[in-house]
Amino acid sequence: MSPPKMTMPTMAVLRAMLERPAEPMYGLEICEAAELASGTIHPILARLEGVGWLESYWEDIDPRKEGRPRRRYYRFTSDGAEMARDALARAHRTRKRASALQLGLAGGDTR
Amino acid sequence: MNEAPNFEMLLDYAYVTYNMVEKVRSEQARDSLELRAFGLVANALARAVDFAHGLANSGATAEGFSRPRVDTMTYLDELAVALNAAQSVPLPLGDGDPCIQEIWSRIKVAVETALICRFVLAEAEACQITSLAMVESRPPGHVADALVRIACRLLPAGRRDRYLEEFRSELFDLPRRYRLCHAGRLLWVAPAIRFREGLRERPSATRTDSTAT
Repeated sequence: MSPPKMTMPTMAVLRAMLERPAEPMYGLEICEAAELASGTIHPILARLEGVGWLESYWEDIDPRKEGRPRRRYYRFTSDGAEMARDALARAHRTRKRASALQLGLAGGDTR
Repeated sequence: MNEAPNFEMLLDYAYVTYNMVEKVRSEQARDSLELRAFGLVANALARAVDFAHGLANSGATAEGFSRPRVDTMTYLDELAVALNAAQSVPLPLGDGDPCIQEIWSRIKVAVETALICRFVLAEAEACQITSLAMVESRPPGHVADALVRIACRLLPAGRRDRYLEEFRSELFDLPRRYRLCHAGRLLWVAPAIRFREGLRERPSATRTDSTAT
């Protein structure tokens, strides 16, 4: 499967998770960290899981003992974090080039 | 069950006391150790009651305490700070200043209210532990649950159970007032999840394999 399209929400999710790449996070936690509306990140997580950057697993708790249902946690795969960092850096460079080009055009730069 | 204190009234009381201390310190250019200690107590108490006020406004007692336990502990910590600070306040030397005397009496009342807050909180926390022990007794709400079920029906059959459990755990973690919106958004994004999950379930021949020649 091809690498995910680096949309702004995808980049926000990756940035949020890369702040503590070794630490697993659950859906609502990721939404909060990425400052995205709750519930909107599941297609992104499914995509990132699909390309092998993330993996998910059920929290190992006894729901009756803890008093809440178990959560689905997401974490980077062994090389997922590195691939995500590269993709973010590439996306950042592309955006920078695009904005520089736009500035150049707006400023009448003919070089 | 102990009657819950009027948090708004307590909050006003704590802030008025704090403002009184600050007024005496600034306008009368008095900055004794005594006044500093009073200010510390009043400020800590105001913050503690402010936090309790937020919890009380978040719904019924047990509902309010379904928020992360760390919040509850923060509130308890704030109260502990106020009480410790109160204990370290030296008794007024009885200089006859009515202003200091009034602040001192207000501080004493404030500490008493802090003790009531702490007691009510402990009771509420006990209620929460009892209610949370029965997860099934706190359904996410019929409409939100129905929306989540519909959303999951849109997903590939092999993935429905996994997502239903995940979505329900998210509803459980959210305050009741946010659940319906959350469920609505899950329904909205369900086709996108279906698309992504569908891609994953396709035969591997359609994947781009970096090792392929």
